[in-house]
Amino acid sequence: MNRRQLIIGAGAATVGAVSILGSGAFTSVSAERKISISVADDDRAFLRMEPLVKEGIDGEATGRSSTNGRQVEFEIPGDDNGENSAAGGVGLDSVYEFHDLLEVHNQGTQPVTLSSTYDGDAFADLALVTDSGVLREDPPALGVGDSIAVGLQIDTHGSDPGEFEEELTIVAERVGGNRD
Amino acid sequence: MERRKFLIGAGSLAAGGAAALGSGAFTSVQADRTVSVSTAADNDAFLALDPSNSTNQAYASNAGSGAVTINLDSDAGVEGTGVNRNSTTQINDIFKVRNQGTQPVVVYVDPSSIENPTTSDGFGIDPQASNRPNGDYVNTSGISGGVEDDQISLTGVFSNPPYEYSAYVSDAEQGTADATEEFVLEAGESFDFGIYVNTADSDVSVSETIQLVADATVVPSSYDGQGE
Repeated sequence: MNRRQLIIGAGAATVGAVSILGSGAFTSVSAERKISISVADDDRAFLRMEPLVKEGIDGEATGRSSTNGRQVEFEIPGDDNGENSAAGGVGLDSVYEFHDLLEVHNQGTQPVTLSSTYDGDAFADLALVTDSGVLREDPPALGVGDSIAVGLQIDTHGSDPGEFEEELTIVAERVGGNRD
Repeated sequence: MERRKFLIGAGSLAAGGAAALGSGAFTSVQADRTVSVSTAADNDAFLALDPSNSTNQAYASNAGSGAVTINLDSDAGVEGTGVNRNSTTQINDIFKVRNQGTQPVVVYVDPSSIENPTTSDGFGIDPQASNRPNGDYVNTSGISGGVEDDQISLTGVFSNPPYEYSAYVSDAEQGTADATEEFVLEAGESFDFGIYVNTADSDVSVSETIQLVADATVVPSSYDGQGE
């Protein structure tokens, strides 16, 4: 495992405050503190994400979701043999859903809710979706060790024909919010 | 087709930061991931609406450049400029609806999206499907002229139709799996999209948008391919 040392300024601030009280001994302290952090690939992270190899035509994978070895990514239409080669893309002024593209697994220690945000402008909306709908206002809770299959919803109302590379933010938050 | 791909580190860093808190492990993760999407004109999309081989393609426009429009007015590529008064007009095969996805879907029109549904009198429209690959419905001989043997209303998949149709699955079958199978398109399959227009003794000029739906999740579990 690859660990890195980081320099943290918080300790310095505390000590520095003491100096203002008048001792005058020193004007600056730089204190190094050690924090161990491991950055993991998506398939081993606390929020584990793995592409679901969705069976397409003739039982072959569509390639609509994949991993570059570190992070998952999506491509519509897919680039694998199971995709319908006649499809040029999603139609305009439409809402498309592609279910079961990604499995998200909670490998942390607390239940979390799973949702997504999108602030791009190529589409009217881009979001994670399940058979129960878009993961937004009332996102599903994921217990420790639980997993959920999610897909993509793409709203092309107002979109132009073309190829777009967009960013989707996948959000996992502790159930009940981020305060103790 | 070549698409650029790039890495974004924010997701990994957020996960690592949470670990540093020690106590509760991860409280929040925000991971940015790349989504590459191609959009396509209707004649090329996953759910293709393609007039190129249709008998009545003159009534369709824009399918090759964006979202298809049906013109039953002076924009139609014909000499006439509208449907007759006090008539029922049936125009089949304006474009093909073709499933260019990877799994069977049920294709229908949401009746609530039709602003002017057909009634026994007055102006109204109803979208139709004919030349369908699945299901076993056959129209009775008494039905109005121009209706094809396997023609059904695309709103007929609903169990409680709010209005009258020109042709639809029989009352007894509505809402059943057997009826729903009439609306299935497997990958690569298509049917002809048409429209039925009912008019009264007055001029009408409307423009409305109807919502065509293709849904893989409502294909009946009993569906096992052709014919049933």
